[in-house]
Amino acid sequence: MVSRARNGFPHEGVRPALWAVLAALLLALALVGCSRNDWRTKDISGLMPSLKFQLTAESGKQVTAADYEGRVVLLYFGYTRCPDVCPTTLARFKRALDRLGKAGRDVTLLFVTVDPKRDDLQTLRQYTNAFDPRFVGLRGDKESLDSLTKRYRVTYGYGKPDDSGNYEVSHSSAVFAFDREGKARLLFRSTDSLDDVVADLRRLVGKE
Amino acid sequence: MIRRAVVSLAFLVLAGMTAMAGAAPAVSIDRPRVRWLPGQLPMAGYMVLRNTGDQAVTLVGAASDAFARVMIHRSEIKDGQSRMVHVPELEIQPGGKAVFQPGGLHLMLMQRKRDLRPGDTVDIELKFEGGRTRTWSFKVVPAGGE
Repeated sequence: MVSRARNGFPHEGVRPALWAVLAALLLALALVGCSRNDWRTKDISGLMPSLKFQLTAESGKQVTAADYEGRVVLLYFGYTRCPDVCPTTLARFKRALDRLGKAGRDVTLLFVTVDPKRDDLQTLRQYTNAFDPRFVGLRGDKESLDSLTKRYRVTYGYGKPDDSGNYEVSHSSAVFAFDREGKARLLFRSTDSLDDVVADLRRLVGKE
Repeated sequence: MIRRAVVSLAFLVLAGMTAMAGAAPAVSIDRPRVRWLPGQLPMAGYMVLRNTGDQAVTLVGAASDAFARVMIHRSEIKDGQSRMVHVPELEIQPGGKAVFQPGGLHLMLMQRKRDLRPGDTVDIELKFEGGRTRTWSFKVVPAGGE
């Protein structure tokens, strides 16, 4: 009797253990399910308004967000006389798009100059083409530019001109990503790894 | 006799000091490169400088025949805003290094005096404290490169 009871004990002990394993597995599955909505970079869905602007493209054509409907759009604010941060950001996104391969063809990067006084269309065109043909320079008067920067709560400012009239421009360092419908989805920061940017962009481009 | 000795000693000390001031600083360079941009847009130069000597060296400026102006800058990103600050001097301790890399320290190269293309090389002179200089050849790399 005693020995039987003893035999029964470990047997019964296995069942709760099995349940615990099962519960853990279910929990793990649930977590995996949840993480499908977790982006590796900053998710701004619902936090920022959809893409809307009226600017002049580097080709001279007047463009609005409707011209880029159906494409994933990256929006970046910079200026061409920025020798380090802007080229570093653009080179990074060129590498990201290259790594996306075929999917990268559905992405357009819009480089909006915050220095329209010095950045004419030709300079913008030469500048963005130096990186990638998928990069498009956009320019607008102060009013159109400010309505766009205000919309995405980004700021820019001009430094004091030096003796040769050169001045520095401070600007936002982040890149906004919009889905094919023009909805704001992600914010890429300079601290995000290229792997994370590529993974999230792939998801955004893909029909997942 | 003593006077002559003092004079020659002074001469020796002076000569020694001159030699020291003229000596090239013990600094090595890795991957000197300039990221190409079109037209007359200012470009950035990057490299890693290593102090291989036993004394601290201080970088105080840079110049190049290919540019009217070369400055040492550092990019800073604060609260999501990016801006540049001028770096008047940069000390490198013995065995230490100064990393000039995208998004950080860089040489700002302004007003090209000649046409430059990716693949070209351009000489840049780095000026160190004590009037000492070293000139290195920088490779012009494509805009989209690292």
